[in-house]
Amino acid sequence: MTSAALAAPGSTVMDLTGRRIKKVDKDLQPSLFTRCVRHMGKFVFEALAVRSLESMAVRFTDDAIWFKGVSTESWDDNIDARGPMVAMIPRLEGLKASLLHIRKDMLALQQNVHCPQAVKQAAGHVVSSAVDLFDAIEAFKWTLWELEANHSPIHEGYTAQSPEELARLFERIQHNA
Amino acid sequence: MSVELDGRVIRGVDIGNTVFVSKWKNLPGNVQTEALERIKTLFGLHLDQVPAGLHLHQLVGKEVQSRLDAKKKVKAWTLHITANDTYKASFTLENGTAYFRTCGLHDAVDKKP
Repeated sequence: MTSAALAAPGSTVMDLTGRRIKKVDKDLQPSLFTRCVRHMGKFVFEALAVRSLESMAVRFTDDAIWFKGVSTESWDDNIDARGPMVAMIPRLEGLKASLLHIRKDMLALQQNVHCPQAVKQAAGHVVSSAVDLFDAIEAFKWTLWELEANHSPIHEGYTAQSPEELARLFERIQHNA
Repeated sequence: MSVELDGRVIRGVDIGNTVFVSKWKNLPGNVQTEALERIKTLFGLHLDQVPAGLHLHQLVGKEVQSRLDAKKKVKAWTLHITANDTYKASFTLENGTAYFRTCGLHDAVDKKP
């Protein structure tokens, strides 16, 4: 995070968001144990597997609540996040991609005939909370885009009064640098 | 001749926001083609009569800066600019003109496959 970005309004929110993204990214990297849980054909340590998955579900729920909160706070403060979001958006997309992998693994776990019912249930909780976190991150991304639109310059003379005129305007912007 | 009194009929479309322009230019060509046709259909529509397929939604609890008066906040709307709901755009409707703000990919995932 550059010193210019830190000095900008909303920099505390963006700084905290950057740290949260780092934490979530770390949580999304599976430990050796959770890798075993996600891919094992037989479940010797059922109770441990359930505990590990339920713990993951709780962390995802906590993170989803956090992202919903930062969305609201950023919106209410109308922060100018144009600087920080350049690096932040790709990181958010990375988190979403990791969540999709986890969702896929958990759904496969639920289809595994050797998987105990309790583990399947815990996997279901992970799927649910992972999707909630995915949606919260996506909503935050759109919050950043809307805030960007609030603070960005406007070109005059780009209003169309008919579909034909609109098509000409889009043609014009496509060919302008 | 009917008179539109509530300001909710779209008579103009503005694409002057530099963010919208920048994001539009990065859309794939086939998405631009489809999105343009969908946005063209907004002319003459009352906000309450927008076809369901456009998935028009108001941003609940979130008002944005007015294009006409920077000191004012106004409601914002989103609509899906592709039929597969993959891309969406946002706009404000002020004095009959839809001022487009941003557009881009809209990711959604089901809890069940």
